[in-house]
Order: sequence, then structure tokens, then C-alpha cells
Amino acid sequence: MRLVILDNYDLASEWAAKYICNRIIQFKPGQDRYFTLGLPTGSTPLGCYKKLIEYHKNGHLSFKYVKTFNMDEYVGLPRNHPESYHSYMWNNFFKHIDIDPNNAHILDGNAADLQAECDAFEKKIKEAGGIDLLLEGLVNKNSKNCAKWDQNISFIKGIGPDGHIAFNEPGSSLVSRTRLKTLAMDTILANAKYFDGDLSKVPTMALTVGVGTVMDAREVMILITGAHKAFALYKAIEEGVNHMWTVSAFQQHPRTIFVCDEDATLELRVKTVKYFKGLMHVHNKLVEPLFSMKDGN
Amino acid sequence: MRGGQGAAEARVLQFTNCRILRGGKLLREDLWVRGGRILDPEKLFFEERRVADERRDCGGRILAPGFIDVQINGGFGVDFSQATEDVGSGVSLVARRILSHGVTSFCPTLVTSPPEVYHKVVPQIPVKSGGPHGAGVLGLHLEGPFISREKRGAHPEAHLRSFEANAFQDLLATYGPLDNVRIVTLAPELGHSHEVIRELTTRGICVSLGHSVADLRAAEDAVWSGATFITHLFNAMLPFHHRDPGIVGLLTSDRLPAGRCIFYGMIADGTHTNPAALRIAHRAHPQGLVLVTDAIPALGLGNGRHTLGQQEVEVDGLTAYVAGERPHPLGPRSQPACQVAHDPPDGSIAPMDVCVRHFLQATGCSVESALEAASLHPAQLLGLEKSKGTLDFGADADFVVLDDSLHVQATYISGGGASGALLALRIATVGSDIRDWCSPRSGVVVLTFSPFGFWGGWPPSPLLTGAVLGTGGVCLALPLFSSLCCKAQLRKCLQVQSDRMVRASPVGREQPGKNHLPRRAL
Repeated sequence: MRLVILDNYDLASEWAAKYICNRIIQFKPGQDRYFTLGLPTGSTPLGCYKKLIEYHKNGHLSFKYVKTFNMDEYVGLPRNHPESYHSYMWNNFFKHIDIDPNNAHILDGNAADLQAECDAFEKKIKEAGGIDLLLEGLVNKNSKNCAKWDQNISFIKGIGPDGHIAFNEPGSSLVSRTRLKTLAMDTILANAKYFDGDLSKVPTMALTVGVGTVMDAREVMILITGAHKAFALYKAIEEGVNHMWTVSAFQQHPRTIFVCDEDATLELRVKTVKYFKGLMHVHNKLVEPLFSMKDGN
Repeated sequence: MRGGQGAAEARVLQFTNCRILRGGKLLREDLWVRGGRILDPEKLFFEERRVADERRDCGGRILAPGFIDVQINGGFGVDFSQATEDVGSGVSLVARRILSHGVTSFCPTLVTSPPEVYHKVVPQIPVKSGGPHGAGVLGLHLEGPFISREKRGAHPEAHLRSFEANAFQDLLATYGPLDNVRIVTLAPELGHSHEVIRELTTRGICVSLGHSVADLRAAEDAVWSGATFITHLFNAMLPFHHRDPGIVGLLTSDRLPAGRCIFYGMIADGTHTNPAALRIAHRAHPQGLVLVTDAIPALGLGNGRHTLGQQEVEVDGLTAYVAGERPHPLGPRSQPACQVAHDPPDGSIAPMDVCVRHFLQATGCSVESALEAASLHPAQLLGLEKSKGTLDFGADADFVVLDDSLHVQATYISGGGASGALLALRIATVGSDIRDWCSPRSGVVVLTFSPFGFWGGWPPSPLLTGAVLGTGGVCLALPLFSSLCCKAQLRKCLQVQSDRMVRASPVGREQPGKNHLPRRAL
């Protein structure tokens, strides 16, 4: 595992974007050789997406030979709803780049047979040759969104952060595949603010890739920023593998990079932080020099 | 309009590097067009899995819905109220020429005329979609003859009418069949007007109050009967009075049907309405403001005498007066004409884009508000806001490309075209602003019309011009040289305008020599 620690959110996003850019260019994607990227949603990767779009607009990076697979999508939400993950990906990423629409895969939460949709998705990943680089943020129930609902629902107080990937909530099997998941109550409460505060409008189910699906990726990069994620990061890397903290599964992945900012390391041992900060000169070799497609790569 | 299959195969155009007016805001978004309609790119991406066939870089400019002019009496020498043999070609000429002002739809307006004129002219101006041939005709606006004698303005007294006992039949007898009619302006204080208003409203015709001495009560009753518009607010109606605001009071009346928005036309050319009055109206009721030109046949022509219905008018600068009835508006050049402020002008020759710019400058409103006043609001008035006056998905692709000071750079209009694949004709123009033409720049202005939507630049490149000519386009090159006499003459014209602006303002004691013109507004 690499733990890359940057000073703040912007620098962490930039590092991650540079890494992705370099990986794609070094791969030399072409007509018969597509680079497969696993992509997340949420607020954490927004900075990274902006940077990737910037590299594309400046001509350094093209997504023409890149295939993408998103991690999850709500069930029953119209595709063009502003809160759907299709809308998120379109507005924050796809519309700004030159990806072929046929290569952008997102689970369809309105499919007639949801399990068949999940199985088909797994198959598509396989047909694409597996995922080369999977980017994910850490979902954390105790983030700022939840805070204001605490006073209404006393039974969720004290649950604490749980650090999971996509919608693989605590208790998800560490070898799970793409499947239908019912969302936990506090996830629904946390999302209510995006649906005019009306709980009846919030989706209660979602399709998500499994922990096992993510583990199959050749390389995994996890973005963790903010003090509210610090405890989850601690559990992810300094404690053992545990299905209550599904992100800890990556301790058994051959190539994982955790990219975080200073605040996310607040619950780690000083020893751990110092150790990985000491390796930053090695980590930075992965992003410097920043390659560009203009150089005829 | 077009079959679904054909539309799906049509080329997809993506306009990038632009700011589009959508949802009342200028958004940094691309505009996608297919088959003459605004396209939802997200749907195209996820459902059809397609990308754009062609991208056009808009250079950071503003893309706004095409302007809609619901009151225009003619232009370029054409008078809609003249019963000529070939009314159609006159309308077509105007329709084509106003495209360069950013107007993509309009309501040809007929002033008070004898019944013979209506019977001859009205059937010859059908509702027609816009296209490469010109702006779309949304329907006729019949202003008069059922209006007030005292507030007739330039309308000929001899042909005014009031409603007899069988009011609506009287109206039908005057106008003839109403199939091509979209708006009727009348004075609600006339007897039997309410049954007429109700009948017109049930037929889907918009009733507008104007050229009237109605008090506020009468105006409110008219709105209850179905009236939805006010013709050129302030002009040809009783002035605002604090105990009886008259028709003007409709803007803030609380006695109107719930949820009903009263729209009102304003001629923002700097002469018909004092900018302070324009601001009062805008601040009182911004959502109802509809910019109109009320342009007369002299629009687009120089100074001189032109017809307006049964009258003759004299044009000087940006104003016009009924010929022979009033003293020459200037008087001796050295003397300011003090009576000008109190004599209402008889028609306007300010093009729509000039009105938009003046409106923006005079009210200090946002660019979005100014653009909506010329596009969305007239569309809402006519109940067309789903397809016109908007850049929402599914709307007709009628839009205008503007620079930051709202000068028209190009006009796109969705057109049929024999092949069905024609999306839009682009007409390049170099603004219709008097100041532009007065500029001491010398050079060549290229107005390029081409079925391939080619751009003619300023200054043009020979290669571009050659390519356009080669593709069968028509290219008109107009040399603009900074000759002394030309500049002096134009400067005088500007000076006159400056005088007019100064006189019109209530504080107007400034010296004519100082330049009080708004920045690049007129």
C-alpha cells in the first residue's frame, strides 16, 4: 500500500489527477487497447475530475481510448434526475471530455431485471479486460450531511463512521459482486436534503459493485480527504481486515494507493504519518514528470 | 414538425465556448441543436450514445433566444397597412431584414385602416414558420380601429370605429376572418368592449389595451374579461395619476385574477419613454415587460418621408413625426426644440437590438432580464414559451449570438429546407447600431448570406470571401470610408439624437454640446 499525504484537498485532488493522467498515457491506449477506469461519484472526487478536465482541455490528455465503469447508481430514480449518478457523471465529467458514449458504462437503476443488469455489468467489465485503475472515495455516514439529522433520530447517534466503498455498507461480504442493496436509514436521511427534504422521494435501494468486484481491479486508488474521514482511514489501514470496515479489504490488494490530505490523517499514529511522508519523494516520482499526449505519447 | 426518424438522423451541432441564457441565467454551457430543435445532450449521450457531428466555437459570446417583436408596422420601405397587390413579398422582405436585428419571430402590425384594407391585407399574411427566408410570422397584430379618439396618436381619425350593438359582428365585419390574427389592440372604455374581449380571448386571440382613456377600474375589468397585454405602456393612454393610475396601474393592481401576469409593451428607443419612466415600470413589474419596436416602414431607411398606413411620416435620426402636422422636430439647428418632450413621436425606427441595449443601459437591469424582455416575455404573452423565446430542450433553435455589449453577431433560425437536414441559417452582421456606422473606422463590412451558414468577418479574409462566393453564397461588401462629409453628417445626426435625449430627461438643462448619450446604447 502507498499512503500519499498532501497538505490539502486541492493538492490531493491534483496528485490523484496527475497519477491517472500518467497511467493512461504510459498505457499507450489505442484502437485495440482501451484503458479501463473505474469511477466514483460524491463530493470527494470533484476536484480530481476538474483537474482531469483541465488536462483534457489543454490537450494533454484524451479519453478517446478510455472505457469507464461507475461504481453504483440509485434504483428507481429517473436517469435525468439531477441527483442520479448519470447526471452527476454527465455534468461533472463526461460532457467536458471526448469519451465515446459507448465506452461510458453506468449501472441502470431503472432496468426491468435488476439482478440481470448487475450480472451484465460484471460481464461488461470482464469483456473490457478488467479494470486497470479504479478510483474511489470513502463514503462515511458521519460526514457533515448527517449532522443536522442527528437531533431527529436518536437511534443513529453513536454509530460513528464506517468507511465503506460505493454502497457496500458494514457487513457486506468482502467477496461480494455487483448487486442490489437496500440503503441504510441514515444514508437515506443524509440524502434527503437533495430531494427537497422529502423522505418519500429519496431512493431506498441502489445497485452497487461489490467489494470483490473492486478487488479485481488491477490497481485501486482511494481518495480520502477531510477530518471527518480520519477515523475511517485509521480503521482502514492501521487495524485488521474487517467486513464492518469494508475499505480494509484493500490491505489484501496487490496495488493500492490511498491519497489523502493532512486532516484525514488525524487519527493515525504519528509514526505511520511520518513513515509515509518520508516516502513522498518516491511517490512524487509517479507524478513527476507529468506526461502529455502532446509529446507524441 | 419533422418525422421522428428523420430528425434522429439529422446532424448534431454543438455550439461551444459560449454562455447560454437558460432558466433566467447565463450559464457556461454548450448549446446542442438537431433538426432545428434544441437538443438534450445528456439524453443523446446516454440513450443514443452519440456525439456531436460538428462543433462551432462561439468565441465566448452570449447565445440568447431569438427576439420576438409583437408590434412592428413595417420596415425597409414596406408598410403592412398598405393594401398593395403583393403584400406577401413586403412581409417577406421585412422578415428577412429583421433577422440581422436578432428578431426571429414577429407579429406584423396593422394600424387603424378602413375595412377594405383589412379585407385585402389580412388574408395575405398567414402564420408562417421562420427559416432561411426570414423571421417567422406568428400572426397579425391589429392595432385599432376600435380605439379612443383622444389617444389615437398617429392613427387616422377618419377610420376610427366604436362597437355597435352587435359588437363582435361589427369587429368581424371590419377585419374579416380572424384566422391570421394573433393580437388585437382596443380601448376597453368603448361600449360593448367586454363581450368583444371575451369572444376574442375564447378564440385564442390576445387582447391588448391601448390608445385608450380608460381608468384603472375599466382596465381591471378588461383584464377580467380576458385582456393580457398593454400596448406601448405610457404612450397613448392617460398618464399615471396617484388617485387613478389608469392603465399604467395594472402593473401593480391587486384586483387582477390570481396567477395572471399582465404583460406590457415598451418601446425602449430613448424617445417614446423617458428612461426614468422605463425604470419605474420595470421595477414595478419586471416579469411582464415586453420590448417592442413599434417600428414604422422607415425602419432601416435613411431620413426622409415614408408612409405609415394612410399617413405620411418624416424621419430624422431615430424619431419620426407625422409629416405636415407638426413643426419640423429640430427647428433651426442652433435652437433646441423645447416642445419636443411633450409631443409624442409617431412611430419608432429603432431596431430591436438597439432597444434591448438601450433598455439594459437605462434600467441597469441584468443582461438576462434585458434578453428575456425581448424573447421569453413575448413568447409567454402568446403562450409559445415551450417552443419560442427559450433555449430549453425541445424548443425551436431560433437564437442570436451576441457580444458582451449585446450587439448581434449572428442570427440562427431553425428552418425547414427541402432536404430536411438544414438546421439553421446563420446571418452574419456587424451590429445595427448608429454609433457603429458613425465609427471613423474605414474598411469593408461583409454581410454574408449563405445556405451553408458561413461567417463573414470584420475585416474579412479574402480566402473566406472567396470560399463563400465559391459555394454559391451571396456576399455584399459595403465600403465604409471615413470621408469628412460623411462623418460630419452622421455626427449631426448623433448630435440631434443627443439633443433629443437631453430634452427628454426631466433634469434636461444640460448643454447640447456635452455627450449625454448612453454608452453605445443607440
